[in-house]
Amino acid sequence: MCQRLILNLILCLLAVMGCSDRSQLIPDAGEWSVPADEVFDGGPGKDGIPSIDHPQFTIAGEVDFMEDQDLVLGMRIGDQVRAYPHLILDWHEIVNDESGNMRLAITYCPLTGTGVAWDRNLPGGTTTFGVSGLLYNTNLMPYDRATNSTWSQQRLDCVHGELRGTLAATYSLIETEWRIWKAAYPESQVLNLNTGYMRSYGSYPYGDYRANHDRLLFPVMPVDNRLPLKERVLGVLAGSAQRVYRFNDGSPPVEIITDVLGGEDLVIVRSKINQLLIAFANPDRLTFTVADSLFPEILRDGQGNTYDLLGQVVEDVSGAAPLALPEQMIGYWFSWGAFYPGIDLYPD
Amino acid sequence: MSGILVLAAILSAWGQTCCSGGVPVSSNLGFAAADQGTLQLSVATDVLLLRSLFAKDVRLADAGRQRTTTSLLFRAAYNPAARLTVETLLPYVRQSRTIERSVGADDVATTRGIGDGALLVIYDAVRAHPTIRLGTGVRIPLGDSDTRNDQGIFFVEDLQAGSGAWDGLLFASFEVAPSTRPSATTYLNAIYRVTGTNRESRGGTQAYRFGNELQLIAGYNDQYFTLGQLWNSGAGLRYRSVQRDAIDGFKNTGTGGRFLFVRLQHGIALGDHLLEANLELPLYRYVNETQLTPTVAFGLGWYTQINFSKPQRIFMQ
Repeated sequence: MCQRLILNLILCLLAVMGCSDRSQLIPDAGEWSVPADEVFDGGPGKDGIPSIDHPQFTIAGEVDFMEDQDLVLGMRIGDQVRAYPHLILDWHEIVNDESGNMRLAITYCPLTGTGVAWDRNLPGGTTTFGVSGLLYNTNLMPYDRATNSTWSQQRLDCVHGELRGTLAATYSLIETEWRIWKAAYPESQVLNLNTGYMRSYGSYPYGDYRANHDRLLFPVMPVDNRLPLKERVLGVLAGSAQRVYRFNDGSPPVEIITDVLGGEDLVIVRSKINQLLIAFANPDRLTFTVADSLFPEILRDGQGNTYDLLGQVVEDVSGAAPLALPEQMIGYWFSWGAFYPGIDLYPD
Repeated sequence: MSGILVLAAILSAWGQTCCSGGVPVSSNLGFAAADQGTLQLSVATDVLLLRSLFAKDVRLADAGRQRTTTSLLFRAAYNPAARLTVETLLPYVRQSRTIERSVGADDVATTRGIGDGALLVIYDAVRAHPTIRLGTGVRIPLGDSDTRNDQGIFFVEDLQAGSGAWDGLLFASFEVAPSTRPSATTYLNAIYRVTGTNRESRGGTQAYRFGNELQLIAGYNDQYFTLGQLWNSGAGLRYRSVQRDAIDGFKNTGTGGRFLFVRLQHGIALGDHLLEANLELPLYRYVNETQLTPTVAFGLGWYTQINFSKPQRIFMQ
């Protein structure tokens, strides 16, 4: 009797361990737009890195949780100017935000250092984005919670699921250090630590990753060694053309360069000492100089109009229009080399 | 051999697993000493629940993630010579990762399959009071380490049933029965696992190595007859120290740490068989960066032995 009891116990255990899990999600049908063999599970699982869905903000002048050298992403959203600190984004990667009638998801990938804002109005309605837990070229793959489709952040399109092939409607962010941002926008709203989660904000979660040019956490194909892999560069997308711009060497303190990419005229501001690397569209081929008093102004055109870091007109003497930000992201060099093999590198 | 000694054999050996490495092998090795010609058999199940998120030694208020490892462990040991034991272990493992999502159903990833096996040779250096045993062995990569989900994406390394690498094992145990109470046993087991590298991780795109691991298991068991049965109750501590994993030779963040657990055990002899239940709870956790850590573990096991050279009942009743 005892042996039978034990045998039954073992058989029950085997049955339990072998049965399928009913709560397991039905896998998405369909193909990938990127090689499935190059999509990797990052470990935490879908929403294992929790997005911030109810962001709270503090006026920049009242923020006390950042150091001057901390990086922030910033943009104008509706009638608000907002900043999103890396030290929070490192732990959440996505902030589902809104202001006025704008519904945006700010996504940031700590492994490539890239960030962009997505319009959350998708075919089928407004949704939120979450962290899929998947990586392509070690870059964040957000998913939309309306259709469960998976997107590629740096490709800026949907690569799997119902919306596969859909191009993302995005807005560019600028990236700079906190000292620059708070000087430029002391009244701006800054995402604060009331995230709804308890994390080690201020403690970078990936060790020496961002400074170690040899270390990648997940495979990247191809690896472009023209620059150190973790050098922060600005990648600009214009139509089917892409180009990478580097920080200057510190002299002059603020440098303005003009360029044409994909048939579009650009003006690029770069400043190593101010940690600024921003591209503006310049369809009217205006001539720019560096503004006399820095921040928030950065550019002055030939008629005396000045523009801030976000391209907004600060001093309007001739009915100037804001400068648009073309699609751009600051990120680690290796990611641009992987997503856009052979990408053009602005000659210095 | 007396029933008392046999009961001690199993109770000092059962342990629990952690998710790092995926498969519970190291802490489940090491039957107690037995006579020449003895075959020891055991089947045990372990359930390990990880639901406590820690940053270093601070618990974070976040219960949204959960890992569960359920293991069925088949063990056998044979003594071909008086002081020599050859022991094997083969696990069957089911692992799941569950994320409680704010929108929609939970996200669940599940793997199952035969895990890595182990082969251990143990020599009884001192076989009296105390008993001192030394052993060495290997962990054999029998389990799959390249399984994919239904989307064709490789499961992360610590969700795989196998590690894909050969590991070296070093084992030592010290066991003594107090002269004032021969039915009791005090023991200390030490297991060190030197890990190998899986150079075919994620389809050959990465070389992955789990961190080396040290485990110290110390405890006290006492045995007694009551209600016409032989019972055993025990308590002990398990210390586990794991180094960081490595990817392509670089240390992987979010892995490695130090843990201390308290273990409670209770067993009963039923004829020629032993049944035991155990429970393990964490006392201290320190992890590198932020990690999900063990919340509770429990198990149930069966054990018996057959002596081919001296057939006899194994319990005096």
